[in-house]
Amino acid sequence: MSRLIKSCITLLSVICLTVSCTEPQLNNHQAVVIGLDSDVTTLNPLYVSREAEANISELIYLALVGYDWDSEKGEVISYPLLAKKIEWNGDSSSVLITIRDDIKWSDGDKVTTDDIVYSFDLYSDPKVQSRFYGIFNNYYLNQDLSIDLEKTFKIISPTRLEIKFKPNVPTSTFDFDMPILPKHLFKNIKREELATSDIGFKPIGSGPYILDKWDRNQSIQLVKNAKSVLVNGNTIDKIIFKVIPDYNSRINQLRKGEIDITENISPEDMRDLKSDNDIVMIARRGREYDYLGLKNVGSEKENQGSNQLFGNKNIRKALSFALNRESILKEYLLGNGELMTGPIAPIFKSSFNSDLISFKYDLQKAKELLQNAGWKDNDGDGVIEKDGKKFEFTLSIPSGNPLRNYSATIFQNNLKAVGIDVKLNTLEPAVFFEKMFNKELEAWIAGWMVPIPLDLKPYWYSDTQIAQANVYGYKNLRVDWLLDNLEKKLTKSEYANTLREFQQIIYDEQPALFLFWIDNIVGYNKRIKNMKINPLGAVQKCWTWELAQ
Amino acid sequence: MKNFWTIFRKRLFSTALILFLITSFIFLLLRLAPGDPTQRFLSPELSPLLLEKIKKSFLLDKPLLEQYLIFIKNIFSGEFGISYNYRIPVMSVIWNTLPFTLIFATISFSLQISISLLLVFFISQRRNSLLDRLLGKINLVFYSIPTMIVGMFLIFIFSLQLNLLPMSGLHSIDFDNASVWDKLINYSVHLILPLATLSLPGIIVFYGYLRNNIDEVYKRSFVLFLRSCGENEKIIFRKHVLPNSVEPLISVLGTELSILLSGTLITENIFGLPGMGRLIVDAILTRDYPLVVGCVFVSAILVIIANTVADVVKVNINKRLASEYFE
Repeated sequence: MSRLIKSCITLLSVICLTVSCTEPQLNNHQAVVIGLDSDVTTLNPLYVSREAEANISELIYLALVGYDWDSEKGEVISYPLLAKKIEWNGDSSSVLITIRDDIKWSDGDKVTTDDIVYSFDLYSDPKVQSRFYGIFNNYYLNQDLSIDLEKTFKIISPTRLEIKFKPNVPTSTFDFDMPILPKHLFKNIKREELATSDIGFKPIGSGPYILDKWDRNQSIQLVKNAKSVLVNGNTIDKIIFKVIPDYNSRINQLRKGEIDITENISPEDMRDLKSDNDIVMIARRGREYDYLGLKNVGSEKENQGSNQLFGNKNIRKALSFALNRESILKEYLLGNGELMTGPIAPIFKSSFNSDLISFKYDLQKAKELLQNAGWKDNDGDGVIEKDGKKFEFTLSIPSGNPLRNYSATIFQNNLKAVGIDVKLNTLEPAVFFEKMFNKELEAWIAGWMVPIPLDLKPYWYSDTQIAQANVYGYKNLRVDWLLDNLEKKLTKSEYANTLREFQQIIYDEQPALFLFWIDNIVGYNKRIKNMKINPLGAVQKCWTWELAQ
Repeated sequence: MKNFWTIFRKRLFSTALILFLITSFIFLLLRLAPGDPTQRFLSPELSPLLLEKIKKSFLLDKPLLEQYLIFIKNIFSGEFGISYNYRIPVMSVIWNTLPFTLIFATISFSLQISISLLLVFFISQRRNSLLDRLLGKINLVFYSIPTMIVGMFLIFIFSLQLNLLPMSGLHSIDFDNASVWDKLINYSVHLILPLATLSLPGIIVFYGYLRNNIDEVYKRSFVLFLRSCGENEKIIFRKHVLPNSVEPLISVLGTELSILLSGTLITENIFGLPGMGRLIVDAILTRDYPLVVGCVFVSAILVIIANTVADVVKVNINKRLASEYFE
């Protein structure tokens, strides 16, 4: 029997050694492996919803324009992709687009202006239910919110197209930056069935990469599209997205060189990985932030005399002073972030109001503000009260987010120090977000990502039919006016001034307690050259990446 | 095989009823639980109108009773609808993960039985030795270590430190061009650590059960009788003690096989394997109702089959039980 066991162990060792020698080493190949936390569900640009899906789909389907980040000016700049020339008329109410005549779909057909019009038709069609449905506000629309094709598009030739917009709306390349779809393939599928058709799994695009293999829940492999004008001899042959659900495994594989790039690395791991000579760590200054939301903030006028706990802006300011955000930034984020003053990130240099200074942790000031508002601890139980009502509330957080969990515990202690009793409640994300959007939570910690282009209306407009992310119930007529104004044509200085005033009001009223801008920490193998990591993301313009020899 | 079909036929009605009740229960439970499958379309950047359209296309705008009737109609026509996440028929999504789960579970199950039996054989010749006593003591310790820790430990040793085995995945990324033999080796090597992680607790449990059962059987009078007749100790063990010790274990084996077939979430997650465990948990977390019901239905069938197989094995080992099943 012991002989049998010895034989088993020897056999196992031989297999291990043999295979460790035969295990392919990707470093020797012209391939880059990107770690993903979960598989993508579709590559059909009509339905991609997650960032990873959009990143992959944009490598396969080209848009008319692409974007870069100008870190000097702190703003997005566009560059032509499918388009060769973009000519705006005097008042920017129409644009003449000339597309490149050397771009083909990966099945060999030419990309024409007909494909462009057809793509916008699909994106705006209610039957298709694409992710862009209902957002073509600058276009001439039919009653069902689909684009009025006749009024909007004029095909001049297979390479020239004119797009006409509604008058007096602020138009830009953001109005037509969606990926372009091949009409000759999509038109064969019933519009109602596009969501379930297998065109999302067998994409034919015009981009620099084509789908080579999709191994469900394992990897997605893209290969260089040799016919694309964007690629050259130095372009990386293969971009592989490898699904690794476990965070620790992703980090270990980055260390071991089994993957080349991974995002959302914890600050603690960043510290360890920095010592690895093969890995470059970048804390991408971001547009993602965490905030502490409060229920029924309302408007100052509405709240006069009401007993809404968070209706008084001085109470909200007191809470802002009471939260020790600095300690979280220093101890948990290890400095990979920035304290907030409002919902516009400092990276948007031309829009950011730099005169505002973030609320510093000041318990004395918090106590004073609460006392002035009539909240005092009369019965000596450590909890302040007013008109017999104790200052206590439940702070909810979604499970599975260690930062929010840590912050909630710190804040609970901070608020206890000023006499506020906070109970913590952790909810499963699906339940948490349902309750948050239904305005059923008393207070909560969540986060947003500031969209590009900057769009503040969905978050801060009083009408919650328009602003579905105004979960705090914030109302301010001046803010509404400013946000409406941003949708008109403004000069650069008018635009900047409007945003400055908006930020000042939000700062003064604290409708939400702004916590910190959180850096997205990216780690990549130093063999990748020309990689640009900026607020637009890490996985972008992969066709410009090169591998060190 | 004849026994299997006889037992299966006898249970056909109750099996169909159980499947119907389980799926109906899950359907209602999901609808009554908090959470909304269209939540991920509720985003500041997407139009609120899109949410309404999607709710309508998922039939979530209809009353619960109407949704249930449509669901029942679909079940009887062998469909579970379209997965909300994947936007393809539920059965196609399940079919992508089911073969792996079946193969992985079967290999792990076979390993658990064979290694625990080997250990028992080995120890039975050294009863009350130091090793026997040591295994008896550390049994509980090993069993109480969470799978996640075992997996991380194995990765740390064999992948990170010794660089012998791959950390995750079912095969190497660029294995398409490899020969059949190389592919087989590639698969095998990728499965060594997951199988070790998954099988270790099972081996310990089966070993513990068998070891205790063997002790109990040795105390029985028929063993004393055989010894007094001068029967060889090895023959007593192989022909009399072992078969009598294995029988109580069969039900435990049936349960273990059912658990394995329903998916092994933690192992799949750590090693990035495409199994049913990950699929069902993701479906629950994102409230993909049709996919959850489909997964539960398939898992229930697998559990019923595993238990039926366990009963058949029991009948074959102990003929006296046959009267319970066949009368």
